[in-house]
Amino acid sequence: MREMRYPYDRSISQREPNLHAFPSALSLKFGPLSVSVSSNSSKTLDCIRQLYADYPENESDFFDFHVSIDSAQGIRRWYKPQINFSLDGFKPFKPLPGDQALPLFEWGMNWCVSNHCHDYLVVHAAVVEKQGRVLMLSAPPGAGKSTLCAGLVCRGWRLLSDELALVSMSDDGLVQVTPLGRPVCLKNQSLGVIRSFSQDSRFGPVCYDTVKGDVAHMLAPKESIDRSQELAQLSWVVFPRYAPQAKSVLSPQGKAQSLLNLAKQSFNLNVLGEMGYRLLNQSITQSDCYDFQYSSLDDAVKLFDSLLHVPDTGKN
Amino acid sequence: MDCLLADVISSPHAACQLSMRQWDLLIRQARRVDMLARLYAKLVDADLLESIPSQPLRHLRWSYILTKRHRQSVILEVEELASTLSSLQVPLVVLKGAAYNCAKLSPADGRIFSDIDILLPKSLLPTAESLLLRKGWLSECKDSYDQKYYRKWMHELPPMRHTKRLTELDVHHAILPETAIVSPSSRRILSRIVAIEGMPNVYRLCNEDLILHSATHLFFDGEMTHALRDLEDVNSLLSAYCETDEDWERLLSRGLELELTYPLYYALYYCSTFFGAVIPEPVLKKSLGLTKMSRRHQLFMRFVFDRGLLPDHASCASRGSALARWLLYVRSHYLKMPFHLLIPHLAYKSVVLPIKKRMNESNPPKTKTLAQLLAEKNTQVQ
Repeated sequence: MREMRYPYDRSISQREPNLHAFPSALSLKFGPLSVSVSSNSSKTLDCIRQLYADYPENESDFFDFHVSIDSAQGIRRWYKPQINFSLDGFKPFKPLPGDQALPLFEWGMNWCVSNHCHDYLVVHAAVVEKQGRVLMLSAPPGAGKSTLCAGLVCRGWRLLSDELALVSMSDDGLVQVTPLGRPVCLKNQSLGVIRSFSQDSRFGPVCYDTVKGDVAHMLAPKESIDRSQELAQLSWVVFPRYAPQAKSVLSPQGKAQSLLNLAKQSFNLNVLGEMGYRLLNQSITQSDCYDFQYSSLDDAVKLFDSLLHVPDTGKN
Repeated sequence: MDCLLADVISSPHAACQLSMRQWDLLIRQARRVDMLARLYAKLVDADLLESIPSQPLRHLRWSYILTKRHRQSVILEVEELASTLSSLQVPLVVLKGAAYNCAKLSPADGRIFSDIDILLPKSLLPTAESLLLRKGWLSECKDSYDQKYYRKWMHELPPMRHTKRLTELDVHHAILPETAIVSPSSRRILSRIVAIEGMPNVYRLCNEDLILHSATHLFFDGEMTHALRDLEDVNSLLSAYCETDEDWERLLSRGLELELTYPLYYALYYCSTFFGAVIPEPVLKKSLGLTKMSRRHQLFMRFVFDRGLLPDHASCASRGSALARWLLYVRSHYLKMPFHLLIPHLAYKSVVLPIKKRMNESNPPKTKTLAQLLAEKNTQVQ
């Protein structure tokens, strides 16, 4: 992470860009993407800095996305302050209350990835890796996907992504996942669960009363960030569901149903068309697919660790 | 003009010389005006993909993937529309993007058009509307004032959206509102339509009208966010259809016939300033002469368009940009409606509508069933 001053040097354009729009900015890099974040509020930038302190700076002069999180001006500075997310002047969302800058930034980045990165099939899923094998946890919001992901990460699995799986085809025709390695977004009770599950977990500030309830982000472990250029092959596709008091059960799921489930969780399947279907099909073909019901994180971690002892059968 | 994007679009070879800093700016400007995919198409045409750094190139490719998909779905939609409206027994005329895509014309490559526009004779609009409704096209305007406004003053039905596929559809009966300061005759336009190959009963405007319509849309519109992209459409049509002196002559006389000399002149002028389009000097001069604009009027227009046509991005902003955009916005309303209609309209939009909205939020209206909507529509048709 590096701080820098706008504007870029003046030689690119004879005309001087508008300085006041970008007082200062953060430069960060995660996975395959580089982002420049600017804000008219130093508090907002400080919050983002807390979450992204360990990330490398972008060494190139080229940024994939220039985003800004600006506090609304005018009467909204005093009366019910608001903030806006914008990608280079384009605002995809309505403004949020002023204290929700961090969730807004994270959601904004998710929007950037799922609406632009069409080299990948972008699936709504958490992805972790151990011993070179990738476990994809895909589920609708509220099913306990992020909590499970955070639990696994606290027990030595490498975090590839908490929210968006970037799926692509390697040269040998197998499906691989590209890490994003951004912080894990946890909601409501999950926060307490993970805090007590692992004393080492580190969190950003909590935002109360967002549309998704109380939200905070678990920082990505340093190791996951450092290895965020390492792609890995998909081995398991799991559809988790948290059920209070229930026993942890991992039950095999048919390939056809798994394909439909995963298709439903894909953001850009319709954009990629045939290529998207091929990626989806290969993902399911090369993976063991399971439904997973759980209530205890300890049991869940044990179960997934035990999967590592089963030799990888899915690969052709 | 000082805009990296316009420079690279007009001479794609310049892209090979750019530094990463310049690429950063180029991608930002192109994204702002939705021209990433168009830029990709230009680089493919010039066979330059190999010499473009991978980081910026992938942004262009990502966007191009989207347009390819879009293109397929537009063609499917138009085929579907042709069969839905076949009982009208008139040619289905597609306009703008849908026409470029269906007829595979030059502006279509790497270009997304957000809606589908069709042109039908005014007398058939009510029948067309109920046919469309039966196939799932519902009106987007929930407000009764808006409904009335469109039906009474505008050149189209209130915009419709397909309930399942979410495609947007504009059904026009003219290319400008009847209240606009000029109203090109739809009869004249419809008399020269051209059949689109491979799509039975689907037609497009003739070459000159394609250019004139594209220019009209741009220079009568207040929404200038994507102005550079729209200007490039005109540029690409000009280079496809205007080569000989006769071509230019036909274009100018058609402009005069449809009372569209003024958007035509500005399209020609700005295509040559921004994209280096080669327009014979006498043509440009004659086209200016046909507009009969005073010198002062010309200076004003130059002030607003010099600024308003550039990407609305910090790197292209100059003194007066914001003012120019505001003037363009005001002007577009004035061009479409005389003041005695415009003032009550704006008053409604700025005062009555927000109050209505506030009240609706506190007690939301019950949603109507399709059957109720159909019943309402039938009473309106009668």
